[in-house]
Amino acid sequence: MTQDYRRFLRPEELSRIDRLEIRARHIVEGFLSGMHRSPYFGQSVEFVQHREYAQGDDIRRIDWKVWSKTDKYYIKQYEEETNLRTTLVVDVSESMQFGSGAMSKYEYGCTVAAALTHLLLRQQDAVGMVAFDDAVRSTVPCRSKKNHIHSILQGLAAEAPREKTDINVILQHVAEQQSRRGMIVLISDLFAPREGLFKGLKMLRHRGHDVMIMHIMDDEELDFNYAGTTRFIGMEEMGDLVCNPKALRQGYIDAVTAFQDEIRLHCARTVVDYQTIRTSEHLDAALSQYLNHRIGMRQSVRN
Amino acid sequence: MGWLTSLTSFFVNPAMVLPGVALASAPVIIHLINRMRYRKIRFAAMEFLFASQKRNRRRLLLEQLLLLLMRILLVLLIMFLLARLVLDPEKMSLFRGAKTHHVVLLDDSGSMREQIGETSAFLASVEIVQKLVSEGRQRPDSQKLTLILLSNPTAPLVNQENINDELETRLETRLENLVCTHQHFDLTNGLQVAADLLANDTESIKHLHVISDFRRRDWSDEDAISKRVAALGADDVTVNLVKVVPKQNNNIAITTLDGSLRVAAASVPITFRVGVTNYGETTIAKLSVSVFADGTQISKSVELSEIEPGQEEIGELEVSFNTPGRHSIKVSTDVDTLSQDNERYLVFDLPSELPVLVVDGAGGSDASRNLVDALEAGDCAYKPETQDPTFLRKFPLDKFRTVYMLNVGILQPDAVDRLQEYVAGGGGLVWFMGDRIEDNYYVAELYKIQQRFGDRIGLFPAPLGETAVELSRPEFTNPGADLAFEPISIFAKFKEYFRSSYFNVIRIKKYYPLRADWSEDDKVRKDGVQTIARLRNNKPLCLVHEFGEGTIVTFLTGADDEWNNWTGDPAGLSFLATIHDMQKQISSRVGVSRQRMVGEPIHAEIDLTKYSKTVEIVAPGAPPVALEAGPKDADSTDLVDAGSMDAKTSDDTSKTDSAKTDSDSDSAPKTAKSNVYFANYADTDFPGVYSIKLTTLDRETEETTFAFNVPPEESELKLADTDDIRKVLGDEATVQIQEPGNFSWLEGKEADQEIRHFLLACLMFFLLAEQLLAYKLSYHPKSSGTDT
Repeated sequence: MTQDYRRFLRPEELSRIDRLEIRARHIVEGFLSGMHRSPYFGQSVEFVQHREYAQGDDIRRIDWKVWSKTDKYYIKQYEEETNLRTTLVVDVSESMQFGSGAMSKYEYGCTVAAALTHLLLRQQDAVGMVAFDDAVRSTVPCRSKKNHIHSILQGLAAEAPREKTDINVILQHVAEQQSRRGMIVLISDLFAPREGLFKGLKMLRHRGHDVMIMHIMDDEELDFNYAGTTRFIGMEEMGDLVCNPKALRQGYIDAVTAFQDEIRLHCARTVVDYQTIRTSEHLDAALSQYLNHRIGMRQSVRN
Repeated sequence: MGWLTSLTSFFVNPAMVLPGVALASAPVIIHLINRMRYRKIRFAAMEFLFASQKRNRRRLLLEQLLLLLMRILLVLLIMFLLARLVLDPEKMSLFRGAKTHHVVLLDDSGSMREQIGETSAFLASVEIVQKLVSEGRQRPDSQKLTLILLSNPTAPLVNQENINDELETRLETRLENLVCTHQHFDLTNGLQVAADLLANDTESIKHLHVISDFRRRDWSDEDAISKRVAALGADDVTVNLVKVVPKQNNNIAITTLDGSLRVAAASVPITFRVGVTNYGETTIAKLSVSVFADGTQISKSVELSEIEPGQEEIGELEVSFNTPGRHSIKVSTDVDTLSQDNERYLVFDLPSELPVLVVDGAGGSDASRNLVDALEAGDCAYKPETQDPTFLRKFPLDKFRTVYMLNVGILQPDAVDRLQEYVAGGGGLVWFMGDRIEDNYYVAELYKIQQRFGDRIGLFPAPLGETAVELSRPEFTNPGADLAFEPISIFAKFKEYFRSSYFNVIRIKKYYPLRADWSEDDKVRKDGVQTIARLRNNKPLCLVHEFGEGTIVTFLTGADDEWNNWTGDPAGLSFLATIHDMQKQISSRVGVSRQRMVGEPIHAEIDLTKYSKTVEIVAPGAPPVALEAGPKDADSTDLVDAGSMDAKTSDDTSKTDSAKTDSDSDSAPKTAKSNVYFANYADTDFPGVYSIKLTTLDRETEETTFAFNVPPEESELKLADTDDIRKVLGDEATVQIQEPGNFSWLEGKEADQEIRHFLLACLMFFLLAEQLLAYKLSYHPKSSGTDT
């Protein structure tokens, strides 16, 4: 697996993304004290609010200054910071095997997953992984140990990839496993029925997960720069088509754009982070841009 | 293969059509090959590809079909250009539908002999005919040819024969042996024959190619030509005028050669007149004309100083021949582009003496002696013979050059008849008055002849008055002249003499007046009688009129002292000059050759009682040809072309009792006598002296000669340019005019001229449209960045 690790995450790239940090946009529930906001109040310097004393409260938290003025017992509540539990949901289906450049979408997706794992583990957050095609292929539970990355990368190994059917099933499976609110990162080309995808995303958000979609697309899938009569053999049993690609290019690009717009719109509605990443982009540049942008959007939302 | 033949109607190069059509399928084949040869790509985002294909299917199909059609059209357009499409087969010169009839009217008149560089206009024309046949041969049996020579349009050289290899081979020899004539022909005749021939051909598409030098002179008769061309156009004949002479050359021609042959005789100097016309556009400063007498050049030559363009300059030269008989004169100048008109020939008979009859009504009077003295004076061969009027009844007058009637009273009717016959045949008659003149008889019998359709002037020109009157003279010492000569052309020299002092001393004492009712003004009278000289009182003294072919001069005064002092001193010299000059003008034409033009047939009548039937004819530069005379005029000889039989010839010189050539009268019956045979010789195209030898039954040879000269019409080389021709023909659309040296019409180049430009424009347009469409339908990545 060391080889896989080297393959997906080269040291020079690691050095360039080391300074990045992944912050949960939403409040997450962790076991450990970390850099992410927790739904719970606890030991911290960050004052949040006063609450009237109730029985059972720790009397050490009574704000005596308030009692002296009002003759009532109030306790001071402070922000608790916890660690992040992130689940990487990685698409290893047949369509991800497509690649016109140096890396296939699958390889690029694995690289992204490895980079995120590395970052999260460095922040001492817990990372788990679910690899899927038509069903869940492998599952790696959340751990925050430094060497957990090896488990993750091992779980990404895809053999005999198959077509995707319904992502909703996969996402339901993920939700059931993640009883506590955390971050779900979906790394896929999203070539699956949209209804299931949207349904699953909605469900995840409903459960309070912070959902991030890394939409991996190949250059040719976006630009469609083919020329000359070509027979396109569909992956995932999509059928064949002999055509002049130049003639169909504009229609194709329109269809892809519509596809992206539809997902982007839905993600915006359900407060899901969405990013299209080209396989030709440098990983560090793509992650830097995305994560920095995400930090900029960070809100204090407590729900 | 009918369809292949029909292709020739629309394509100059029909051989290119089939490969072109085959090539038109190339875009389709390329399209199919592309469909068969493709690369395979495993692709993930098929969903979007299918969506795009579903959405664009109809548009793509239409666009691709349009592009394919455009590419096929481009190939077809290129094929049309290479195969040279002609939409209107009427405009094709050679390669036309089922049958095309080419009638070539080849001008072989004398002017076509003009040298153009190393060839001649005629040879250039023949070359064009060869090219036309050669081009037509490429479409065997779809073209037919009729070749008409302008010299003999009724007998075409080739008559409606299919143009093929066999015809080309056969025609090659015939064209090489074809010789241009020296003659002048009317273009309208050729056009008419061609029009008649084409009118009978209703099945073919008709072309008339007129290959000529197109001299301006030929286009002078505008109506005749334009009518015929219009008629051809109405008959759907495309008239193609093919010029062969590129530019007009200067030319000089000897156009006149004659002399005082009426009074010529052996050992008497003959004055020859040589006229040279400058048909060029620049003045000729000096010209020398060599003279050959009987084939030998004489030391003297005719020198002409300056000849203006379009003018004829006359030079004179005296030559004397010592022996009587047939003689010839040839004059020549330096050769120019048209050589045949730089020579001219003349043959004539010289008698040893010139008999003149003087009929003296008084018998041995002074008048007759004065006249005989005047005739015998000087270096001439007149042999006057004085007779009384009864001589006229007894002896033939043919041998006399002139008959003088001095003081003759009443004549017997048979004498009058003989005189009339003599003058009508060309003899000269001169009247002098005297005291025996009977005015009433002259008026009644000699003045007018009653004819069926009105009277005409007889032997005497005017009604004489009753008696002679004296010319009143107010002052006898008045030095002024008693008579004045009118400026009449044939007696122009009289006028010149009148200026001399000899005429001033003439004194007219008596004269016969004319009757009062006779108008003295020639222009009022208009009876053909001209007044040559008038008296000082303006009364006519000398009259001249024509009778038949002869000329009659009438002096209204006598020839002795009683009437005037003209015959004595000091005025005698002027009388002598007048008589001699008059002799030159009115003497009988016996012995004077008519000017013959090349091409006129020689017609000989042979009396078998004296000659054998065989006639030997020697043409200039040719071996002798023997002809057998026949009993009928038409089939007299096997060497005579049928067309030449119509030609008429008139008088000639060697009138003998038994054999004569060229009958002198149309009325002479040609088949009248069984012992008279006829021979015709028509091959007289070359200018020069032709000799006819008859053999008598005694095996002796009698020879007579004829001079044939080229017609002056063919010397005028002024060209009719295209504008001139167009002006004559009007806006006749069916007439095409081909410039010299331009053979593109032979290759049909001009036929596809219009459509070629259209096709080129279409090709450019479709090339541009194809490129634009192809650019629009193809994908072109942006140079900067990528779109996501």
